[in-house]
Amino acid sequence: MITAPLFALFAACTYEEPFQIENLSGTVVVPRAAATREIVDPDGVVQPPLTDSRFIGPIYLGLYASMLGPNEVASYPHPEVGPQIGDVQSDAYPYGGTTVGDLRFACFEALSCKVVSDRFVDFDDVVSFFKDTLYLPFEDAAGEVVESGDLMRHTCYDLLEVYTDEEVNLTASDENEDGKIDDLDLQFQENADGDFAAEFTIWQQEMVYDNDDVENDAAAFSLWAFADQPSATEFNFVTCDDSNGAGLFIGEYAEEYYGGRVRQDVLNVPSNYITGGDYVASEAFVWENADDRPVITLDWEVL
Amino acid sequence: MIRFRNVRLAMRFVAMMVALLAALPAWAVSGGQLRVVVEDTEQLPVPEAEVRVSSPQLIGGEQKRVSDANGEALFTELPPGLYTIRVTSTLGGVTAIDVAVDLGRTTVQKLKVSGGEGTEVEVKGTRAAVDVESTSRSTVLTKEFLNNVPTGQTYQDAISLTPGVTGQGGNKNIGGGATNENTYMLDGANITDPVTGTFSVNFNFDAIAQIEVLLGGYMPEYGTSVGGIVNLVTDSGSNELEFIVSADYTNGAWSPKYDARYSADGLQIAVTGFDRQYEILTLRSRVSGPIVRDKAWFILSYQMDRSLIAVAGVDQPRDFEGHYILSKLTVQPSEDHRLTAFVQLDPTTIDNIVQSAYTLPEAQGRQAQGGVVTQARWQWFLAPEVNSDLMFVVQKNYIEIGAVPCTHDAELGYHPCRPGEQEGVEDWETPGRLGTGGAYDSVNWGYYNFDDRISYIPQAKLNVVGINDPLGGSHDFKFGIEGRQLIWDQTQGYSGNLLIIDLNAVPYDPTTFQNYYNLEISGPIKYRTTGSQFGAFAQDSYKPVSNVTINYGVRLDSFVMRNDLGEPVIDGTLAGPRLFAAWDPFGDQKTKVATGWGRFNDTGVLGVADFTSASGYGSKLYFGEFFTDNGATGQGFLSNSSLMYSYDPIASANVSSLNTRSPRVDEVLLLLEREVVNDFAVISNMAGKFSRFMYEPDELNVIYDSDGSAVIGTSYGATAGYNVFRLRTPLLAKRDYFQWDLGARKVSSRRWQAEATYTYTQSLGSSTSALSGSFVNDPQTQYNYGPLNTDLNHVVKAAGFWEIPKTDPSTTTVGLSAFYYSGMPEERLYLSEGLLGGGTSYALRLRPRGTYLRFNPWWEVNLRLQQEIKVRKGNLEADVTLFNLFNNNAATFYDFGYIDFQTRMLITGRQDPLQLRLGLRYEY
Repeated sequence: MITAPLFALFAACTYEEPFQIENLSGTVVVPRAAATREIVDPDGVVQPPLTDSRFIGPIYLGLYASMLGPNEVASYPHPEVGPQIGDVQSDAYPYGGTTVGDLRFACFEALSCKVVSDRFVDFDDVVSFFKDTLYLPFEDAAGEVVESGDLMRHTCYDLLEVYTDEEVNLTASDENEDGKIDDLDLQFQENADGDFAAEFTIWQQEMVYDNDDVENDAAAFSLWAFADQPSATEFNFVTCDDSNGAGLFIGEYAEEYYGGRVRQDVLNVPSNYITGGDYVASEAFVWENADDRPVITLDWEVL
Repeated sequence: MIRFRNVRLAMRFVAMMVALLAALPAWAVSGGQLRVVVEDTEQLPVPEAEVRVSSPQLIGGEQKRVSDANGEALFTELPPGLYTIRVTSTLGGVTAIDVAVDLGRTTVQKLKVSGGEGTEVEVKGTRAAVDVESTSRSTVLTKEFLNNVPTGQTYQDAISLTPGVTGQGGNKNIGGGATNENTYMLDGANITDPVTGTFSVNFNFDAIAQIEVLLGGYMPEYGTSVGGIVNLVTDSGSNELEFIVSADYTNGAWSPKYDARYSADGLQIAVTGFDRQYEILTLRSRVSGPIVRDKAWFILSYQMDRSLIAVAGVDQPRDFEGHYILSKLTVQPSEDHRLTAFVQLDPTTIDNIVQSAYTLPEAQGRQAQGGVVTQARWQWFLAPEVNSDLMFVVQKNYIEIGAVPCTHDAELGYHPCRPGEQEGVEDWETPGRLGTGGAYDSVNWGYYNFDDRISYIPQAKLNVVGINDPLGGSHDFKFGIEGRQLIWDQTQGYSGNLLIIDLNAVPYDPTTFQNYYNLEISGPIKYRTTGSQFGAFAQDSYKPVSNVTINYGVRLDSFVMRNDLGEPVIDGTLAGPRLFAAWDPFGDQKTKVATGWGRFNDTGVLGVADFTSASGYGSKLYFGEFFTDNGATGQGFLSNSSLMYSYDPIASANVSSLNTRSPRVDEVLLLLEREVVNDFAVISNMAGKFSRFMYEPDELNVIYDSDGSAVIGTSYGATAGYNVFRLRTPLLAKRDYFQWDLGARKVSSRRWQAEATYTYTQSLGSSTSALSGSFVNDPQTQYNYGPLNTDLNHVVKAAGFWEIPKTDPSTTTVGLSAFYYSGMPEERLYLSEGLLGGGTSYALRLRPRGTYLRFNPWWEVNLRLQQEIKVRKGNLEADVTLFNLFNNNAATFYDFGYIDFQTRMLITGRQDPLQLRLGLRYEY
């Protein structure tokens, strides 16, 4: 008589869902070369090479069935893709993924598809980077060159109807909790090798295990990543769709432009968006334990 | 052990047990207990004393027991009310009058006998300030209290007087639970809405004898709930023919008005009070009395509620008209049997259900609702220690939504009939037009829904009480089983199978009005969802010594809820053990220390099972003029407005995890109560409730960027532009609730009663209620856990009344109630981009839940004055109540919307204004 309730109670205590869901964390490393550029000033003079984490584009990390080396599909290491049937694109069918740095609408038409989150300390940093580092000053709606971070902040607050920098969600926050926001709060930090490293988390990933590798209990998916590096002249990102995005919703402030948004099939068909100058990982990582914290290095420059 | 007086009685007991098992019996908590302790002057027990109790509420006449070796006589299943106890013994006699028996409580009345046989002493009974045997966190609202303090005249309003009950509207948050997690019981039967988990019946207020509000710590007989329990018990009548009629009129439009408040650029952010409407008329009548004295009583009750309430800026008031009809017959043909038949109906119509300034009269909707509750009950008092309770309940509720019937009465201002159109016609053909960005809803309501919910509830209970334990002490055993068969039928569709969406391209600027898009929708759908719940419990209230009570027991619940394909979506077999103990350290009935742990399970609602129902609408989305080149502020990338942009298939892509479990709450409590002076107790009650495994879906297809604001891939292929949701019960879907009540209670005596409580609460969690959607956007998990809307850190509630002692009995009563709520946490939500081509987008957080800001606190004071007016026959009473005496106007609800739609912090709900309620009540 008493067995049934005790069993039910015990079963309740040991309940587990019939699948395993984990937060998968690790580190992505971008080689120093990816953060180094030679800028040509307005007079056509090539400046000395400059290394700056602001040159690093959005990083896309995907969990794929497997990874292949360079072959006829792509000239660089890439995820295995399904067959192309008719006009249907070959699809890599990712299990999951995330980003390090997100494409953001930065409140000016001229900045559509040019700004990645957590690369800049503050709005002054954005303005000076485009104006003084890239020599790509941008204009406001009245055609005036934006000279100050304050103007950018006010424009963002006005346009997005927000009240704090945190809500604009573009610049860094006090990640290291030292009471101030500075370069140490940016996502990518230089490591001992002179490369740049950033943490990532793939939230609530359902673990899938490879039936052929039960003994090793390895996940059936491999982590692979690539960096969409900005174009040399316009500092644009290929993974950004500038005919879509925030402008659609802005209403009275919309002036026939869109803020840009990330393309929704980046992880499905990465080869559509990987171009010369981008960096990909030459080795994938396979989780054997959800607590593993892999370091994935984007060590292959696409030519 | 039970000692049967003879073999015949034993046979009857066996027969009854068989009948219980065969008849699928059930349980009910619809009465109280009275434990009479007879002592001599040395406080030694007096056995073999004859104890008789009677009450106007007790059908069947006087009940008689003989005190046992401990001098105790226990009376069970007593209707709530005031009782007279007469004790006769060889040591003398004593009569106690006005001994209160309350719902779900055990009244312990000690009576001393002295003076020798034949002597008679009369004493005034008391209502205990501290119930030293109860381990539940609960409050009983008596008819006397509710009739004298200022409160709304509905049970949904009245329970706000209870500490730990928060929230607005008819469905409250009780003990940190969600508004759809409470259980509502009527005369012992579960009448909770089987689809939504909310209340299902509006009820005749005059027919309610008592309301018990349970926040936790209750025993298995009360059933299942992961929120609170609202236990209504109705009157049965008496041997006196009684007629009561009353009328109340409430007006909130006489209050001082506030100006509107505007933002710097002219947007109205807080509405004016000048043009709002607030009127309520309530008519009640009740007749009750004997059909056969002491054998058969009846009660008939009718109540009409009519209210016209419009928020400021809205021309058409929400027009509510409800008729509540109740009849109850109680028959006690012999000492052993009591039969009850009960029917209640509450047909209601609500016109103009959308209270928005952006809805035109012709686009307003009507909700017709109501239903019937029928109950047949047989209580069998087999022996003083043994009784059974068999009940069968059938409940049907309906909700019908459609357009407000048209009228040619232009003055009324409701949905106008077109020329030549017949009065009262509802248009089922013309598509409705919905506005966004400040554009009006226009043309027609455009949607219809016919919804029937049926519950069949057989239940039975067996009480075996006052059983002496061979090792000492006594037991009150209770056993019960219950079944609940649930059916939910729905028929719904869109007028003309089309829905037209308009917008102001520049929000709130009508000069930029355009057609936004149009949805061509598949035809009407009709489907059925079903469920079954079976439960059983066993519990004991064990008193090893006179000042210790150990309440323990367990519930076993098995349930299955099916979708429209008959697939079991959620099911389970659950154990809900409880172990609580109460200690009266001084043995003087004045102090209680109680503690314990209990598990409370959720046996699901049909609304959750419906998550994976296949029935649904398919639709094709066509762009409107906003997207064409012609629009002044259109987006200009389409030249052909008839282009179909996307389509949604009819089939639902939602699935259910194969191994969901049921949400459950573990509660621990520590209750300290002490009567410091006569009838006055101080209270410190603490409880922690930990809710786990709430029903929440996640999303299987879409892959997001780092914060969930944009889509970067899909698992089911790049062309799969749809979301796939999966119902789960993840461990992360949880709530942690802590409540500490500090208060004082003065029970009714010497012409006054009062209760005041300060409550500190902390309520953190990731799931506000079932299917809240907290887990559909994976990266947002990092922000899911935070303060919930029940995280009202500081709440003060006080209520009481005083009969002004000018005459005896008093003719004037003053009642007062006051409430203070510190502000609840509020969120600012942002729009994630969602899937292009018809996918779902989400409210996005940039910081942990509930940490953006807090509402301002709000408070109100209510005053009630009742004056008896001399009439030749009967009693006439005038009743004047002022609600929100200081006309406070604090915001109670903000609406942030999404950031991409020009979010302003619009205040969409404020305290009800100062209201004057005038009432007349006549009793004969």
